[in-house]
Amino acid sequence: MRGNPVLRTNLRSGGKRLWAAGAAVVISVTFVVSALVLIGSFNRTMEAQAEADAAGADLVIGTGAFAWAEAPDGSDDGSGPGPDQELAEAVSELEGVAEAEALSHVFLEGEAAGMNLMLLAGSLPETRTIDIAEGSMPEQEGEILLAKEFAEAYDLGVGDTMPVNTERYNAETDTVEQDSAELTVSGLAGGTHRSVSGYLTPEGLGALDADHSPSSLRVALAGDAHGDPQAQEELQQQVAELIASMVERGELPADPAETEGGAPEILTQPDGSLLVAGVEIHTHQQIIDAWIAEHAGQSTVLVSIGLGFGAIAVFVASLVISNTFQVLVASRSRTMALLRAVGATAGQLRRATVAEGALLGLLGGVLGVLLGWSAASGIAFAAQRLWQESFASAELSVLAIAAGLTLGVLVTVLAAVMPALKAGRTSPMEALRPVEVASDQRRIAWVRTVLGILFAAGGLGGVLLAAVLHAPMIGATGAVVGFSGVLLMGRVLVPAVVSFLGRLVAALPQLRVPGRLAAQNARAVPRRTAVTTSALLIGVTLVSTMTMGAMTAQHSLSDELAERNPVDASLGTASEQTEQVLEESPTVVGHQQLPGAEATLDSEGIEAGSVEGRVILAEESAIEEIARSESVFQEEHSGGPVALISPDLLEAGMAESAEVTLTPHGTAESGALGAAITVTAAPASWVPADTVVLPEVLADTAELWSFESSAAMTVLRISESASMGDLTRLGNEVEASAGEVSLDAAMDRASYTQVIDTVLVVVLVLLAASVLVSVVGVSNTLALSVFERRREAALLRAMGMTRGSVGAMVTLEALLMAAVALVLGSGLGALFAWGGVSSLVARDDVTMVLSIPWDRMGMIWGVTFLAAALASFLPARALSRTPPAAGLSAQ
Amino acid sequence: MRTANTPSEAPTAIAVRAEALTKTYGSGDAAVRPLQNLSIGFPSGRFTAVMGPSGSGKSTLMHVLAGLDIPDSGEITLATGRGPVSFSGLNEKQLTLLRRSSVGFIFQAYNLIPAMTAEENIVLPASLGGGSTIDTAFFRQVVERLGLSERLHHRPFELSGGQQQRVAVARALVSRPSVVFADEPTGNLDQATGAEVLDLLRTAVDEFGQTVIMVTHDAAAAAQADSTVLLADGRVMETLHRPSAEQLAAAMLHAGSAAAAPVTARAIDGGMS
Repeated sequence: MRGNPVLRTNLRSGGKRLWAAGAAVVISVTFVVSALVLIGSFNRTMEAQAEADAAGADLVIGTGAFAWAEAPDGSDDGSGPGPDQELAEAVSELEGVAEAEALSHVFLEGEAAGMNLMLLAGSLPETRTIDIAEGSMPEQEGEILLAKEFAEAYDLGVGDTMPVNTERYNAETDTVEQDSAELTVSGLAGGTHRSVSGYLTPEGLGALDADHSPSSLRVALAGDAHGDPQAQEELQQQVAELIASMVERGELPADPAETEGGAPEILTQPDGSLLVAGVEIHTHQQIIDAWIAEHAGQSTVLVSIGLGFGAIAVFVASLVISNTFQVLVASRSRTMALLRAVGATAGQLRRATVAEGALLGLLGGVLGVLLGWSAASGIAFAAQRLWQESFASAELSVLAIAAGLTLGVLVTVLAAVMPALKAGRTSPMEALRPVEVASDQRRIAWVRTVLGILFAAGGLGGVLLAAVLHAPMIGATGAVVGFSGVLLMGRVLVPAVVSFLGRLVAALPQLRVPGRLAAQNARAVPRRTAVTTSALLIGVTLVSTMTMGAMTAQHSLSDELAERNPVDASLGTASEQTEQVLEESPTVVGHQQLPGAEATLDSEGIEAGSVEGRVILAEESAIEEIARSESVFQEEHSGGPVALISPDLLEAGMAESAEVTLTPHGTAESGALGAAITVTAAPASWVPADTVVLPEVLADTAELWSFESSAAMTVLRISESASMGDLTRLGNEVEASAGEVSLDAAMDRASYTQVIDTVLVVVLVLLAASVLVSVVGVSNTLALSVFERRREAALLRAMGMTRGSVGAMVTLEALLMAAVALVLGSGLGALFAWGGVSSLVARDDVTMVLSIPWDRMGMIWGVTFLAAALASFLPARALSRTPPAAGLSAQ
Repeated sequence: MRTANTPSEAPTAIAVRAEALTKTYGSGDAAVRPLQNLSIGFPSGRFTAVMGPSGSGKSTLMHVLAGLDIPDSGEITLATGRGPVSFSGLNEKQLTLLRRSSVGFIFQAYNLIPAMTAEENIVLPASLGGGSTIDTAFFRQVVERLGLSERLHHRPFELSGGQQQRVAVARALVSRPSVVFADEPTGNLDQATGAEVLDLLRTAVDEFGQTVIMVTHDAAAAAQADSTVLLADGRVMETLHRPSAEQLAAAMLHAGSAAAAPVTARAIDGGMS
């Protein structure tokens, strides 16, 4: 630096002004570095998970293939040792093997915390040490050790019992036999458990009347060989040969196609594992690698999401940095000219500006790397606390440091190049020229404008086309091209719109002068106004596209769900007590009692042929109030009205519909037979057990029936904003008094809403970085415009403009730029959201209607205006403090 | 210490009066005292020039009289349309509003708002008031007299230096302030244009009855005024009535030799602007 007096002068004269550019560098580097560090953590977490699962085993032999194979001797009585156990025995006899244990698992279904629970339970592996977080190991039959994460998801604790259903396939009768059992949670296991979620003792597992599927064979070596990769590989080869010979001798089942030529072939797979007769043999390291490879997809997606949003933040930052340098050069033109006049070369000025950029980029990069690391550590810590205990801590990698620094320096230097060229062109004459009133140029960059219009029209047209053709790729390309077009047009468009809005604001008497001046200033420096607004526009467009897109997708899904399941929820009975609960629940929007009558239901479609159940009369007015669509009793294919029947009544495979005859309880004398009705009934998930819901139009003989409230059921309309938690709470509240509760449709909707909302939150958080940078850009632009307008402010103050009005002028300028970004961004966002969802949903019969979440959009507008006002706070204060006397004399 | 208010001008009212003004910048050795117990009254409807060597306190005096700066001690009273107003006790905002309604400025650098047309610049002080309206007839009269009728919709950079200064003069006059302060109004102009501007100020006084106080270095400019106040060392040295340029030049020479520390004062003067 000592060698470059120009750089020294620059840093001394304008160093303070670099903070905004510096902040932009720091924020974007922080974002990219924290993304990289977190992706590293994620990968290490996966590795650790794989490691934990393979821990203790030197070889893992996949025995899943034995599950479907017939026993080689053709006898499968289910009592003798399975092929996996036979193999385990053979392996344990090999030299150097300390232990070989065959693991199997069973599939269990149950219910916990109001949710259906599905659980793979296995036997406790002896070769793996399990870390007990709470409680103790299972010791008796009926005890189960649950993975902690699994137990927490279902709200289960030590000592809780859970009923489970089991299924066993009986080969002799070719039927599935069902049974049930009750398991008590003996303890919770920490760490990662990826193959099974619960462990029983081998006896306990055996006691469950369920199909036991072999899963794997874990082999441990004895003595020093344990954990030695070379010994593992040798044993791997031996085991492969053993399996081959056992298959050849018919001791192990295998696909006949593979054993045709005698002994099956031993294949070496690309990852080094061996495959013989459909059985995979992995060493410790290979199983870890295989698992990571299997999950690499997730990591790739994470990398592209992280870097995609990183790229947006970097692009916005480069706009802001380039802007800062442009204005720095402009504000220094007199100093530069003076340097030129005393003999500095154009090259020296250029180099000094670039060097300044490099220095700034380096400092920003270093700070960004440190901040990114801290942010990632914080997020990793939060993830450990809130999400996954085993999430790996953030570690700063060489890649992250290098990427952060390179990015910082590169972006800043590139952004400084254009201004540097301009700095080099400073004429020494400028130093001698007196300060004059500058004329404002109204030159329109035709190439840029025409190109912008072409891009915008073509791209946005592409989005429309994509929506009609359902071609997401065309849509995405169109959106990018169209948006670039709008950015290109920005220099002409944005100042014009800002100035127009300024004039509108000037119609208010209090803002007459500040409004006009803010409007005029936007025109006076069109480039700066356009670039600042562009940075803001990118953020606003992305945020509103995501918000409106989510809402539109949610609505179209919601319509789809309403079509499929018009009734949100139902209760099997109706009572005053239940009614009171429903009346008080904020989750329930509406509820109606539908009267019912005891009846006999006869149908060929019903498994037992005839069932004693009930018939519910659905009055049109009552159903209309509850249903979300008009097609409650419309069967998809027949078109005409049908009755609805509980799905579990219909025989499997008869899902479409069935003819059902409904006869009220009673005798021939009482006219019961005469009252019988035969209707087509289609299954609907909300209809309680043993019930047929009869629409009013089909109840021809209604007067002969006596529908009473004692056999009534209740149908509910649930608030659209109800969460899973609300629904579970509602379920618990009414369960006692209402009997059977069906919340399926509402649960479906809530879970979709939850998924969409979660994705939206994640995306918005990721976008925060670029929005932050663009707000820094606004502050920066205003600070520099304040610097240029000190004289003007002094004059206005002398003439009697109050401090408040002078400050308002600056704030107004920020608000006007924000307003333009919001108007343009919301408009583009609406188009992109609609086009995006339309092109993704490939259905011609559904016309996608844009749904605008007014509350969220209002929040976006509010926050953007607030941010702009905050960004203008310091510049506005600085300008309003201009002493009025400062404008009285020249310079 | 003499005042401008001599018996020969007796019946004239005072537009702005200063009593015992003191202003000090800095402290200790570096302290500069541009105003030292200065008292003066400027007659209403007259053209008064304020002259003095660099550092004599003339700029500070004008800033203080115009309410742009606040003296350390002393009292200023401005005769406004609603009676005399004393500056002491006014807060920043009240001073600002007082400037808006009762004080006009003409600057050395024309100081027009580049983003506004000539007409907008002229009505700027009135439009700052939000609701307050302008006397259209008077506006026409001033614009016509200053020869700006054809230029009203031009922007400052489309006007010559003389035209810009005429716009600035019109801006100072249309709101009929109690006092117009002119700070070296001829400093940036060639001789012919400078003479034209002085002529305009003279017209403002003679035809519109405006009170004008002009700070200047230029003896020829000061010779156009009804009277000239000579300052040195923050005090009033002398008040001359209709002096010739030669008299003024001589008086200035005298004042210059009496000035205590011109170099330091110059530096401070520069620092303030």
